[in-house]
Amino acid sequence: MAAPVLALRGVSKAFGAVQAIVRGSIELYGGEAHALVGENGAGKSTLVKILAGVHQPDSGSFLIDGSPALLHGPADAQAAGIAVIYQEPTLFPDLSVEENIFMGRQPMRAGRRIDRRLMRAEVMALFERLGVQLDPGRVCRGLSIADQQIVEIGKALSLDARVIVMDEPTAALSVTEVGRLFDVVRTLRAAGAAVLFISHRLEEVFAICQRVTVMRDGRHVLTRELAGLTADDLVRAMVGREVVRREAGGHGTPGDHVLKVERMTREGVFTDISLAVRAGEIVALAGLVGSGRSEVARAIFGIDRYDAGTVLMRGQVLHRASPTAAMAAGIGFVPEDRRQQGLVMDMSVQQNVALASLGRLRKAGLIRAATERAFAADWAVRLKLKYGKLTDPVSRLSGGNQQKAVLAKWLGRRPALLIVDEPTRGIDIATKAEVHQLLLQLARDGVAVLMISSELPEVLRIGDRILVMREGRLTAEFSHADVSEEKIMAAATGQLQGQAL
Amino acid sequence: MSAALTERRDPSSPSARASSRKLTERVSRIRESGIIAVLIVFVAVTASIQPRFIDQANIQFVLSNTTVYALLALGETMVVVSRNVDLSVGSVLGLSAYVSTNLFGHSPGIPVPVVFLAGLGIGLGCGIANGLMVAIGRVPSLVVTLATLYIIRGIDILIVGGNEVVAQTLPASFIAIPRANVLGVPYLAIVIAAVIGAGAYYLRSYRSGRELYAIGSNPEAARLAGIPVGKRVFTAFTVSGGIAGLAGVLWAAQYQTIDSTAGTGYELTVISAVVVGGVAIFGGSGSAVGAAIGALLLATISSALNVLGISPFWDLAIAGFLLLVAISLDRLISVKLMAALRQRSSGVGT
Amino acid sequence: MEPDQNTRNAEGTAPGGTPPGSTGAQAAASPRRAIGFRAALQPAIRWETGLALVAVAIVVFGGLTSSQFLTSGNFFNLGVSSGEIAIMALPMTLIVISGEIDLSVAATLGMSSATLGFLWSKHWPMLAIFVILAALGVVAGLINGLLVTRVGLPSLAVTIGTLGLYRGIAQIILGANTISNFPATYTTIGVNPVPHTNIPYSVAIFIVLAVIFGVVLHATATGRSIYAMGASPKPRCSPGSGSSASRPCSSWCPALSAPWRARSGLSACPRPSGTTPSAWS
Repeated sequence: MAAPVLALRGVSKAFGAVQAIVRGSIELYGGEAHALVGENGAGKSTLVKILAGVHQPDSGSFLIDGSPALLHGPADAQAAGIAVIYQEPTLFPDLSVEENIFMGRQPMRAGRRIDRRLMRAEVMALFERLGVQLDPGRVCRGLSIADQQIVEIGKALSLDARVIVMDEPTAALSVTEVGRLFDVVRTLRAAGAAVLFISHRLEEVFAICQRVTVMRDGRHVLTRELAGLTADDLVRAMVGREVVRREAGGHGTPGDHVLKVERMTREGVFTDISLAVRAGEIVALAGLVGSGRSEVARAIFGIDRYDAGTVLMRGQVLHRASPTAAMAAGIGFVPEDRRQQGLVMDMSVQQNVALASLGRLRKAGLIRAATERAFAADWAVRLKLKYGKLTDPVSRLSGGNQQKAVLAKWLGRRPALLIVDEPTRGIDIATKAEVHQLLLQLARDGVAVLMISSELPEVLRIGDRILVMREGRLTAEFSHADVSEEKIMAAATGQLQGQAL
Repeated sequence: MSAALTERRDPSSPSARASSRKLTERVSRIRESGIIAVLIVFVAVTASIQPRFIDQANIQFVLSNTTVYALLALGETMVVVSRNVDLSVGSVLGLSAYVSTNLFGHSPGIPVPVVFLAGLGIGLGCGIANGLMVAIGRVPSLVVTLATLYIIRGIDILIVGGNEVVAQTLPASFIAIPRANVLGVPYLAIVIAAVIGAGAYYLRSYRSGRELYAIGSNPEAARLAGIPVGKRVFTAFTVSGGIAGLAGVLWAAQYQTIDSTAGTGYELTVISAVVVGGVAIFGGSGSAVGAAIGALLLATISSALNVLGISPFWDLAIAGFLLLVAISLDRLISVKLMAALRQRSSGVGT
Repeated sequence: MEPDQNTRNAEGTAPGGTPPGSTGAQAAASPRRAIGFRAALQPAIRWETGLALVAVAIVVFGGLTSSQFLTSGNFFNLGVSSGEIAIMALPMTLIVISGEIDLSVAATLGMSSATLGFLWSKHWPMLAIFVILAALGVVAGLINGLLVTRVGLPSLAVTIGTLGLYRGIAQIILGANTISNFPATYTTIGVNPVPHTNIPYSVAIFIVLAVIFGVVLHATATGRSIYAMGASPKPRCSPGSGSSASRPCSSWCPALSAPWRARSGLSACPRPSGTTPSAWS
């Protein structure tokens, strides 16, 4: 085999006392799509940042075309032909799509002035290659997540990179767009580029990649051709133990209605939403991105307003647009975006976990650190939260543990209804299973759970009833017994009128 | 089949897509022409009450007054667009005004361009200090320039003491600068307009100019994109300082009496002008031309007060009030615009 | 726990117990011991320690340079001139921690000062004036607070605007006049110490308020939510972070500070020098 285009050998990187990568290795060959899988905390994002030039390895060798390379920053990485597409789009909202793609590298005409016509033409050509239709002159503010990803991919393509790193690129893409992305990956491979594909979605890994590297706890576990491996093999390598997929068994009979939503409507966002969640049941709200599910949840909790309809908690009408009232009525809300809305990143773990329960923890209006710490420690044990010290800033936790911290915060309030929006997005498989077990246990304890999820296995695994939304309306309801992935998909895309709605 | 339910709705039709862009462009054009409209209305109303307002002498006066503020607005725009702020411009102006024109008294016969260079040098020095602290020290620009506002003013007071530079020490050629006319329009105003035009063109059509906008729009993304954030921000502050230094010399030529209070409080007016002129206070958008028009509007209002016999003490309050109105309006517009853009991008929901 | 060689100070001593001199020798002896010492010193390594050291250095410098520096009279004067600023700094602390800024503080003080002078010259009773000033301060703060929280404007821009507005109003109220001749009972508060002590009234008030603010900030839910607001950039009043007190807090933080400024304006003015529009620019 030819020499690798890029090779990391025995690379280590520590941040303070935390060893993020210990003797990690990866080799990328031109014309190949290489998957990188591992739980959160396995060191994948650190590896990506090293490739991007953001971090420099403490030890080990970083070779490009066989010669050692030292990247002092992202500009060096770009110059070396490495393009990175991050999980979270990093765009300039006030600037146009074409400026975003070409920022810093705009084509120039006489006198070093920017040639806008040429820039526009090149972007149109790029989009044609991608098979996308996006207006290059449009400002990026207000673009959907999917469109933002397209711009990011356009950025990487415009670099004519030899190594393209994609970090969870399909997280917010539609089925068609994922297919399109795969076509692009094939085109890139055919042109001789090396693609590093990081994903939790093993079915995608098997669909598009040729080789896989598994990392665990910052270490390299294996690198193998994908042919001949199964998903279970990978999972076993990632977690080092068998992860049993368990079907959601019966949870016993659900109790009284906890949440009742009657004909809730918000002009232009969702229409005529009526649903109910009983104590002890997990209701999954499925649907396509853009169908309005998160908006419904936020309206119930009072973050967003709604124009008509009523929300009843345990029989009492709930004030609109008042999260305080919702919390007082016993609703907990775990948001989609845990970093921005779920946690205070600079505060410590214990402070975050205790943040929603301060009312109960304080004495005569005052909070004692010891009380806080005990509370947080208790919940950390219950949720198997992994942390260094409870006084560490919560930003140091891995994604899965951060999500657990958000859950701990809300569970600490003993809510009657827990609304979770994408509970396991961006979380590794083992923690995902733990979160599912947690939700099941909550249901067994009598909590009503309303779960919004875009991951069908998750919906099928733990949902008691599955509601499907499409374009702001509820189109189908299935019970756990008679549902299938196909039925949900059909209802979500409007090909099936479901039962009883 | 993919396990994710993420099939997007039908991609918007070409006409809907183009309309998003047209909408944004239309809104920003309205915003920019809005200030001009307000200006015109204002002038018309004041002139109808007091026709003296639009006679030759007054227009020249207003334009002369504007030049200093417009220059300051240019420098401030560069800084604000990158999500920073330079509160020290008033103090720099004051220091430069005194020290540079004091040279006339100390070394009689000194050529006027040298004095300008001295002012520029002082401004650049202050700008470099600001730039170093913000770019390398990574101290928030609000804190840095708030501090240098006082430090530079303090240095100014130390140097000036109780003295002042008076008109008698200034050579006639110097004093004539703001007064020279070409076809009734102050020569200086034309020059400054050209300078601002050049500045705006730079911000629009050169890579480093666009990078300033990028830094203001999303500083993290700018870093990841390999933009030399430190260098650009440093340059912006240096230029802002240099411009303030030059403005100080021009100010001296206009007012001819310079003591330690020169330029006090100018930062408020400059930032008001910049924001009223459409530059977002958090950076990422706006133009130097808009800022200059904002400066013109404020100078016009100040002159109108004067002409209408209203106490000049209202100046400050009005500048402050206008700033509040401008940012409130901008906020309202952007909220509505975002809602409209979201709708067009993906129809119902996000 | 690995056994330590040269055990003179067992690792279990209280944090303050390890004498600084021993680090050198013992750092070489066992890395764990050095880490233990460093960890023990950790809480002391903070910004405030540096500030305290600088303050001590300045006092020492002053004492060495002038024989008048370390006198109670001098410290009294220091207190008089900085007392009001210290009081105003307290609510400002809350504002800055919550991620905002208020540049209009001095202008509010000037405005209330000017109102004081104006109303006094119109022969209003002092008590009524106090009430008006307090209300004025609250209104001024509320305007800032509401523009930032309800309308969602950046506090930098808002307070630059209100800075001009309030300073302008101060100028409008007083014109170019200077008002003095305040009654002696009130001016004495400005210049005399609290009876039986050598502390100016403003410093005494500051000390009391500082304790209250400290407790609120560090040991109450409201204080936590202020820190939370400062830390989360975008959704400043995001209920998702669990703090329901966030939104009203943003409004009343500036409002809270305003009466103190009015109060400060009060204690500033009754000094015999009187009040002018430019007094607090």
